[in-house]
Parts: sequence; C-alpha cells; structure tokens
Amino acid sequence: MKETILLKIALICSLVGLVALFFISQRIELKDYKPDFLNKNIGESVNLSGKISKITAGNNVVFIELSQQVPVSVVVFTDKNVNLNENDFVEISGKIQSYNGKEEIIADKIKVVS
Amino acid sequence: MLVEIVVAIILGCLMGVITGLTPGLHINLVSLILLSISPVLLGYTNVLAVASFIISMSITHTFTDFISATYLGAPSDDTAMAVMPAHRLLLQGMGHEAIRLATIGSLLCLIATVAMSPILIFIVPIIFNSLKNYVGWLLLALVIFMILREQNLDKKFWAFGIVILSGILGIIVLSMPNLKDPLLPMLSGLFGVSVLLLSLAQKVKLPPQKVTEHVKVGMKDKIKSIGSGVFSGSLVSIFPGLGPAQAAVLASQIVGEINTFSYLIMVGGINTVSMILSLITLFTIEKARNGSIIVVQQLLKNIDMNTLILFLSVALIAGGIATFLTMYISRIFSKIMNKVNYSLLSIVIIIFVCFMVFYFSGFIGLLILAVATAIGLLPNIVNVSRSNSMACLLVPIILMSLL
Repeated sequence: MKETILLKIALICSLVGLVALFFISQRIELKDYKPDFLNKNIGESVNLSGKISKITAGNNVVFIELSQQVPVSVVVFTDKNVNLNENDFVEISGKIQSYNGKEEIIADKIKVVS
Repeated sequence: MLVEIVVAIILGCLMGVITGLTPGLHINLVSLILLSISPVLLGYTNVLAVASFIISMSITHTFTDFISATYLGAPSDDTAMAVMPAHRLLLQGMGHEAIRLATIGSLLCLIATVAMSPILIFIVPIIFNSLKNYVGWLLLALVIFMILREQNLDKKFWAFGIVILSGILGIIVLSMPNLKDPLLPMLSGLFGVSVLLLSLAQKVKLPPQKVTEHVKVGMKDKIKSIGSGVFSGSLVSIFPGLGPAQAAVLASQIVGEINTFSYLIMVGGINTVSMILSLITLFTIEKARNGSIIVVQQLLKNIDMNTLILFLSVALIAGGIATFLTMYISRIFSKIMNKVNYSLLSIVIIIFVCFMVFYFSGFIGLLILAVATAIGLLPNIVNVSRSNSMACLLVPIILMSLL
C-alpha cells in the first residue's frame, strides 16, 4: 500500500469519525460535573469524584466538602467509623437533596481512589 | 460540547506524539496525572472532553511508539516484539518502510475493529466467560511451543535456558515492592540496550535511510496480518494479564510463517486493537484492561451505548490524525538518521535509557537493566529467537494464573 493511499484512508477515517461525532454528540446528555448541576437534579442520583478539602465528623454523620470549582457539600449518614481524611481523592455516589435552601449530596457509597 | 471534544482530540494526539517518542514516558502516567487534577479540569471542561483527550492520546501513542522503537531501539512493553524486525529494516536503510508497515497495521486494524464492534459487543462477553479460567494453560502451551519450535536439540536447550532466566528475572522484578515502572529497565535491557550493544560491538554502520515505497505486501498476506492483529489484540483486551507482546508471540505462532513485512503490519495493529477493545470491554463486561482506559472508567464509571459510539468516533479521528503525524515524523527521523553517527547515537540512547531508568526506578532499576541486558545478549550469541525472552512476562502470569 502506497503512502498516499494510506493517507487518503486516514483522511476518510478522520472525516467519518467527525461526522459520527457530530451526530452522536447531539444525542448525549452531558452529565456535567460542575457544581451548578446540583440546582437542576434534586432527587436524582449522581456520581462525583474529587478531593476532600474539609471533613467534619458528627454523631452518626460525616460532613465532607469536595474540592471543585465551587466546593460541593456531601453528607454521609453512618453508624460506623469512617476512615477518610483531607486530601483523599474519593468517588461518591448518592442523591441530591435540598437542605435549608442549599443543595448537597447524601452519599450512599464512598470509595477512596488515592 | 463538540468543540471541546475536538480540541481535546487534537491536544490528545499531540500528547500521544510526545509519549510515543519519549522512551519511558507512558500514557498511563499521563492519564493518572490527569485523573489527579481532574477536579480542577472539570471546572473548566466536561468529563467527556477529558476522556476524549485520554483516548486520542492512547490511540496516537500506539502509532508513534514504533518510531522510537525503530529508530532509537527503545521498546516499550507494547513494541518489544517489533523492535527486532523493525531494527533489521533500519539496518537496510528502510526505517521509514518499517514505520509505514506498522502504521498500515495500526490504521487498518483500527478501522476493522470499529467496523466489527457491533459483533464484538455480543461475542466479547461470551469469549470472556468461557475462557477466563484457561489463560495460564494457554500461555504455558505457548511457552512450550516457543521452545520446541527451535530447530535442533542444542537450540531447544538454549531456548529453554533463556526462558528460565528471563522468567526468573520477570518474577523477581515484578514482585519487587516499591519499584516504580518495573517494565522499563527489564524490557529496555532485554530488547533495547542489548540490541544497541550488539550493534556497537559489530561496528554496525547505518546505511542511508531512504524514504521509499519498495515493500509491497500482497493482499492475502495483508488480510492475514490484519486478521491476526485484530484477533490477538482482542485477546489482550479480553484476558487479564495478557499483554501486547505476549499476544504478538501467540499470533506469530498461530499464523505460522509470515515475512518480516507482514509481521510488522500485524504487530502494528495489536496495540491499537487492544486499545479499542478495552473500550468495548468497558461497555460489555465493565472491565478495562488498559491503564489509560481504566482512568476513563474512573472518570465516567460505566459507559452507555451512545458514549461508546462517541469514543469509537474519537478513536477514528485520532487514528487518522496519528497516521499523518507518524508518517511526517518518521520522514524527519529518516533525514536526521542520515546525518548522525549511528555508533554515537547508540551510545547517547544507551545513556538516555540509563538516565530514564535511574529517574523512574532508581539504582535498583539500573541493576535490573544490567542483568536484563546480559540476558538479552544471549539469543544472539546462541542464535535462537529473541521472543523467548518474553518469558519475563509470560512466566509470572502463568504462575499467577495456575498457582
């Protein structure tokens, strides 16, 4: 196969990819990880990852502040000791709730990534 | 979103060129850095753009890493099996031809895999569930076959010795605690520095590198190479522990006698296919077999059909761009190689590899590099296949699977 043919195939390959990307990107709802998504999805389940910037333990509850462009509040209700520290990178899944006019995530699963 | 993804693809392709050309700089490392800074990144862009960056970087890397493997003799675990045939062509003034063949393999295997993805989505879970318990036995049979295929009893004995030595080296290196990047010193020694030392000892003079198109591979051989590239690349993605290098050994045993040119097409395709298949396995069996795709999984959790199609589109675009970049950079390398003293270049590369090994793996890395280089010299001295040295990865996986 000559190089010119190879490059023509490469060009067609990229163009086909671009056309497919154009159409499929219209069909994908962007699950944005920006904090303003909280206002739009109250009651919905979300997955979120980020670094713990602040953690406060209370009676059967742990309050976490997740580092994002604007900090995101995460609440963990648990009767067990939670082994989490500041600067841990975690993955959180939970539901968005509104509390005193502020949105927060009630976590049902937290996994420390690093 | 579209514009952000397209920008991410272009940046990813450029990063893939950097990782492909720099021995020791792996896409997994860049992906992990991206994951660690993702909270900041996601404040400025969306998660699909970050994932698209990683995918386009990974795809481009599978194209461009053949340039450093061919011209610099510095292999990664993805290109270890391609170094020898590519280096042989380099010594005939056909370095650019070697890159062209590997690029043909990468691009055509990419297109074939994307085209076959509707079928693969259905058969990957079936194959995975049927064969996942037999990987160890499969690889053991492969090692035995590698030894037995040597021509006479004397060579079989030496092949066995090299398998044992490489295997022990692999077990020791891969079980070392706190050793960063264990594959870099081991594979650089077995397949890189040893080859360069032999070139130096034999006072190899690099002939003028020509940008030619003399090599022609027949349609039948091309289909055979692409088919085996897709097949073995799929194995890498489906089976835990099986890497591109082992798959190349397996594929070369399955397809039987193929010439160097067809072999380069096949090896060129394996890495690209394994990257695409990793996306498909992420969708079908929720498992990613590739470091950079694992990072995509960390970012997105599981992907739906639309996201898979988006990623396959990203891969197609990146593959096309990577083809242009690889051929362009290879031409530049060909010109540079004509101007430099090859012996001096070999010494510079050996020093550079030593520096990279020291930087990533410390003094212990240098020790591994020295031992691996010594073992890497053996196949040439006793005139057996260098692929026997891949036992450094095969033996630990066999033991891990069977014990």
